Amino acid sequence: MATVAAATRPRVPVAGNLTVAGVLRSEWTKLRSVRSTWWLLCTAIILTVGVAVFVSPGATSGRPAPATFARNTEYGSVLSQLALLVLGVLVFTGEYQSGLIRASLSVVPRRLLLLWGKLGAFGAVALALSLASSVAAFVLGELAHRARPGHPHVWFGDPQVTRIVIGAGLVLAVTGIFGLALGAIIRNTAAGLSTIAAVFFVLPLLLRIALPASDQGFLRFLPSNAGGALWNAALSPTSMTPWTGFALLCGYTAALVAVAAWRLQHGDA
Amino acid sequence: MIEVENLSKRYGDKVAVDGLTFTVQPGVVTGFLGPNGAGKSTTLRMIAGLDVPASGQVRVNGRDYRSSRAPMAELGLLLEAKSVHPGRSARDHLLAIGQTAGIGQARVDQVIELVGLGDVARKRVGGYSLGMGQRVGIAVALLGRPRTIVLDEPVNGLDPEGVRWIRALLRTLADEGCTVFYSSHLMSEMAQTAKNLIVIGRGRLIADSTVEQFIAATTVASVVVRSPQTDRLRDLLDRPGVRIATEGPDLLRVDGITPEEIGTIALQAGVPVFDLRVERASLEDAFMRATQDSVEYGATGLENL
Repeated sequence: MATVAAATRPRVPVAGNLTVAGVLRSEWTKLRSVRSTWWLLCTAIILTVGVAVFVSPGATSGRPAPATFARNTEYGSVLSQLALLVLGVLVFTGEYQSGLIRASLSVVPRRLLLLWGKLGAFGAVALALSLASSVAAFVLGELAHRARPGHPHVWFGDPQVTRIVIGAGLVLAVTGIFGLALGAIIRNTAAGLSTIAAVFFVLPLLLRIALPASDQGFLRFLPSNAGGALWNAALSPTSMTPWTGFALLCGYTAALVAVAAWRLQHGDA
Repeated sequence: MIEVENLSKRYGDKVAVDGLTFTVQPGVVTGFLGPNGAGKSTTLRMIAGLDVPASGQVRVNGRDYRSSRAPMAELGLLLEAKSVHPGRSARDHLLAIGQTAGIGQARVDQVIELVGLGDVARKRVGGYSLGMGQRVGIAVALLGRPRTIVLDEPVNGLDPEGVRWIRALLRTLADEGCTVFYSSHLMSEMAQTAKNLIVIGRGRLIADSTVEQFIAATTVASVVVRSPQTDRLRDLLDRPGVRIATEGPDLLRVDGITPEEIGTIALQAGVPVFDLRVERASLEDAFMRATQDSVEYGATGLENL
């Protein structure tokens, strides 16, 4: 063990001001330095691209419209949104469950800075990964099926294709942020993941079964369906228009972020 | 400097901290004592801005810590061992903490060497022992070279060498002008390290003084006398205000009279005295006496063992 004196002398300051850039860098370090981040990101990419290449474009028989084909290549993002939701939830619950949150808030006593830092770092990672995987899914899905008879040869210039491909990525990223905000509110990993599963997977199924046909239109307001509207190929009477749906998903997410900010700022850490 | 003013905190119906007021001065080591459940950890969390007081206020180096511009230069904090994600290495943990204040890898590595984690710093903290986890927490507290340092049970889980190291560390920091405030259950350890003491019980202030004053004010120093004629000596010393206890065949313990008086009386009566010394109570004795009415979770006797 080194001598005590080496630590402390000379007493020149080493710590600078608390800055947004510093908190962003710190949150990036936290993200990159645990294995679960890399596992979940790899899972998300493999699911999105794998489904595009091996499964979904063949789901429509005959010669699909370009928009339908593009939408089919993005089906995997329904699965990979689970990986992003889990990653998002863990950003905060991982800190609360390990006790790290106290160390974090003790060096970032202006607590909202910690939330903005986490949102920024995770949001950037989620957006980059989501867009990369949705574009890769479309491009690789398209190339993989070129040889198939009846393949429509779809590319970015075709009607709605760019909106669908980019939209699938945007929705994936915002869904991850939804998970982050929920984790910040719930603070417990198991409870957070259960809530995610309930909202995104159980509730849509349950309501579809339980609601009478006349009320099925209500389903379009669920976060998963609202987001799904952005990468829908054809407008159905029960779905929202693409950007309205996406705006609603962003609205839900913003509301959760606001609650998370309030809960973080007030009360005990 | 830490200034606590009329600080209170309750959890539901339970009052954890009840109108505490004290000041921790820079340049000396100040110990923080109290039975389990006295409100020590709650108070330390409120000092760091982690818990929100029901009333009252805290100032660290003269201002509210939560609005501090450079928090890591103001306050270094150790709250509980392993406030660390188990899947992260100590090096990455310290880097993430430090980066908020622009602290880079060089200072991180310096502090890792300082606390003796050089060999394991790249391994995941989940596999660390209690003592190693404690060193990570101490490294976090030292990282920003803060003006004030607050440590909750820093010697917990440390080996004897680590305990001695902490003692030297705290004294060195105080000598350099730091405000050093720490809690511990190890009385003998605190008696050796701390100069000032804050003692609380059931969330209220019991004592705010130096260690010496605290012991002197809470306990009575007694005089131990060894003599072959204890019976005669007993009779000679038996006067109002003096209490005498027999400690052995040739040993008396006397309260309420100075050793000078005993020596003079014995000489005049021709009673031989082989040993005459003042025995001061330990910090532990003083603590037990001062807090006997405010023990929250006291064990009962050993009859049912």
